[in-house]
Amino acid sequence: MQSRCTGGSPRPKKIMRNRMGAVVTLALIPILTSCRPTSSRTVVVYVSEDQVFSEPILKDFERETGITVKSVFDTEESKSTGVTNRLIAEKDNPQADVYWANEPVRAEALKQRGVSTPYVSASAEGIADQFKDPDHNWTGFSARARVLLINAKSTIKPAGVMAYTDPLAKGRAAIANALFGTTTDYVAALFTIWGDERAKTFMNDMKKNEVKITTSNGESTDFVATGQVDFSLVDSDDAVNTKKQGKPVEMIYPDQDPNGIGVLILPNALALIKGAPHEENGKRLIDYLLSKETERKLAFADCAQIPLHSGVETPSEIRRIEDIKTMRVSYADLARKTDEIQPFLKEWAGQ
Amino acid sequence: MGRAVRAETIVLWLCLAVVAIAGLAPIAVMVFESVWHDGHFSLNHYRELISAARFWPLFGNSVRLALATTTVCGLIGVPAGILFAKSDLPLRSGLMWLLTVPFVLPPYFIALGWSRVVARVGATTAEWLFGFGGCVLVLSSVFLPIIMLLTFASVSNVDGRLEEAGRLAFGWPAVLRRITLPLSAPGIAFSLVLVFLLAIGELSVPSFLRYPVLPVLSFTQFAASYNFGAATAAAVPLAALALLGVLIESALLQNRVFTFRSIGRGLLISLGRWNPIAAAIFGLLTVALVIFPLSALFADAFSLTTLHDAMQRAGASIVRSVIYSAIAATILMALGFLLAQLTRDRGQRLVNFLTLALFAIPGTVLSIGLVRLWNSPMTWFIYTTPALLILGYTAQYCAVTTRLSLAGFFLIPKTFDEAARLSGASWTQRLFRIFVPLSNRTLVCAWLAAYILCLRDVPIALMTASPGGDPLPARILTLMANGAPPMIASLCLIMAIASLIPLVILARVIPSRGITG
Repeated sequence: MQSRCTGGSPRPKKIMRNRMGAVVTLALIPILTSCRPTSSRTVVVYVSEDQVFSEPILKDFERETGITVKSVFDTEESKSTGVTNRLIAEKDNPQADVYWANEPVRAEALKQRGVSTPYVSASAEGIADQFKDPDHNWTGFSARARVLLINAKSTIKPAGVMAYTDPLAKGRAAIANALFGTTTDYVAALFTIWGDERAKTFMNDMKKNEVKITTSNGESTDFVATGQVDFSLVDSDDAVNTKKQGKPVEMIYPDQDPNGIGVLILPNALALIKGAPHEENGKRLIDYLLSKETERKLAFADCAQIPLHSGVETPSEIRRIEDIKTMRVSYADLARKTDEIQPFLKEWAGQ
Repeated sequence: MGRAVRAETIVLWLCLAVVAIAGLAPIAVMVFESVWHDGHFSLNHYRELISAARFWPLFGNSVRLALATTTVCGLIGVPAGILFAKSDLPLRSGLMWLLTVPFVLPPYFIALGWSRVVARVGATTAEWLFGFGGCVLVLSSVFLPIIMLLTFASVSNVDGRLEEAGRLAFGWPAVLRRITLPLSAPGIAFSLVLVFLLAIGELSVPSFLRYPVLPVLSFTQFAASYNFGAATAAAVPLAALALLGVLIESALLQNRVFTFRSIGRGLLISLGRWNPIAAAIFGLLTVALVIFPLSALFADAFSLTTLHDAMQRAGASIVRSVIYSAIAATILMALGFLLAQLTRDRGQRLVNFLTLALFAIPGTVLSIGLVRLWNSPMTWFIYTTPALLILGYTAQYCAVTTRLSLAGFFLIPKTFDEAARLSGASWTQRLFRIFVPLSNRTLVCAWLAAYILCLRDVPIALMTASPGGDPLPARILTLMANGAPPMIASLCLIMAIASLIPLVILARVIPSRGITG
């Protein structure tokens, strides 16, 4: 130990300098090898759609156009706060060109905060206006539906959302936390269609009926599949995926009777970012994603999404959009209503 | 002499500047946003937070969870660390490294493993897991290694001569109680504070296991309202708890003089007839806390096809993760070492608080602050490169390397430094010829701790990685949503291996004597 402390030989010094040099070089590698994404052959996309489904489509775009796609993915499942916040935080110096949202309310929230800019894509022709922003800040495509997933052995056979308040379903139904994701959208849709008073009564009755509040639609799906509850509102991709795995579940489109409120359809939504560094490439990506071919791929993928163009080939388990009675709601209204009912939802969810 | 003082001061200020740039400035940006509303100063976010009906119950839940986790980890980790360091327990080295494995993965993954265990056992167990008890179980299994390893390191470094002298008059229990434990108190107290802060700031596990806690308020403001000011306000109580932690720790250790010098083995706890019982207890503990959840998590991982698929989906992310974590760990090791050296005599409490506050602040708040601060055309070379991610890691984890280094400095007799100073050695000479050579093992420990913390970090990775440059935990998390379970299992396994390789090196570098030699 003593010799190491007093060691005056130049060897340790040299080794130390060499090591320091190596450390500095190592530290500079990622900085030197990264460059500002201003290349004309690049597009930056922030994606809320599940990575397993969106990444293959983006790879196809890369292959077909030669444009490199740089992506930032997100997940609600594990409670990350996601790319929407990042887009808002980057508003003054945007890095992304395109936002691929997994439901339109997030795209609408970005529009209301001035993050996106209008773009009318030729590929959007044939998609109903109901699924587009009237100001063209976002365009919907390949949709999910909020469906009821029912355990195959269940004696309860709900036909609509009111089943949640049926005494027969006491303690036997689940719903994902209404503060997050597509459940928030669904509740906001009920408030929009029914009015605040009726919707609040429904939510409170549901709670009195001892509904199980889960952390995510994925967990609700598991609860139904394992028989912990009889039914739950979930997204159609979760339901189709669970059925494909051979689990004992049935999926129904709720409230389809003539007086029913219909099914909430939640399309993916594409928004061009205001001040996008690669605007032209961003538009090309949006055109590509809005095409019938992309909708066909997403219909046949495990996410089983419903094409919004007519005449797109679909697998047998997916109903065509024209065969579904849909909720007639404006997504802009849903976004506003979502903000408005936050205090109620926080109290309802106990957060 | 005058020049030496200047060098010391310059380096100190440079270190503080790094902490300020990496952590304090982004947090200041966020705090400003929380008090600046519509062009004027307002404490509305804080008023709303405190007056919200759910604040105090959530605060209570968080404190309860953190206290329970810290207690469980302390009750198991401290005896485990002592026995692994000082006893003749068989297989102690293997048991210690096995118990460390859950720490190298993000806590959410361990919760996932446990949920798979109970799914196989039955619904009754599931009801127990999903709640307070489950949270304590998962968090304890994840954070236990912190207390165990720091206790191990601390008791290993107690001056063996003192223990030997004590043994002349007393049995080992008295020596342990009167000499070993009091002298190990700083390391043990710090490990308890760390676990408390980690547990109180944890969101992913309580959310997954449906136990409402305080960080959910900040998360909700981000995820449901996109309200950065309110989200920051909701995170401030966590920083306040960090201050409380520092104060309690300081109060506990006040006016104590610690003499460390690891000479010989010192105290040896001979378990005698208790040996097989102790081995069985720790064996069962390892099976319960490590083997159960990890075997469920990795169950489908061991097929060549899925491993190949996982490498295809995440190969680049693995390389990135290892490189970024290694760079950040190197910076953190150097920063922690210098900060500890320079504040050894004064300013230590302030540095402790600042770094621990950064440690306690949720990664999401820090990340949004970094985005706000660095996203400008002038600073693209930071924002659009991995430098931003590395800044985030540096801010969040510098408390750990600083404190580990500080503990290491206690092992170097002050007389060495004083003698060198009297003989005219400059600060730089003393640093490189006394402190660095005598702190080799401390530096290795600090590097490894920082490497593992960076490698398993999720919030900073998700929010600050450049487009197309996601590290492995972020990629695993985003692939988990509807991803094939075998591929996710393989990715988790790969991540565990990437973390464990340095730990295996650590096992070779650090013999049973502890972190310094």
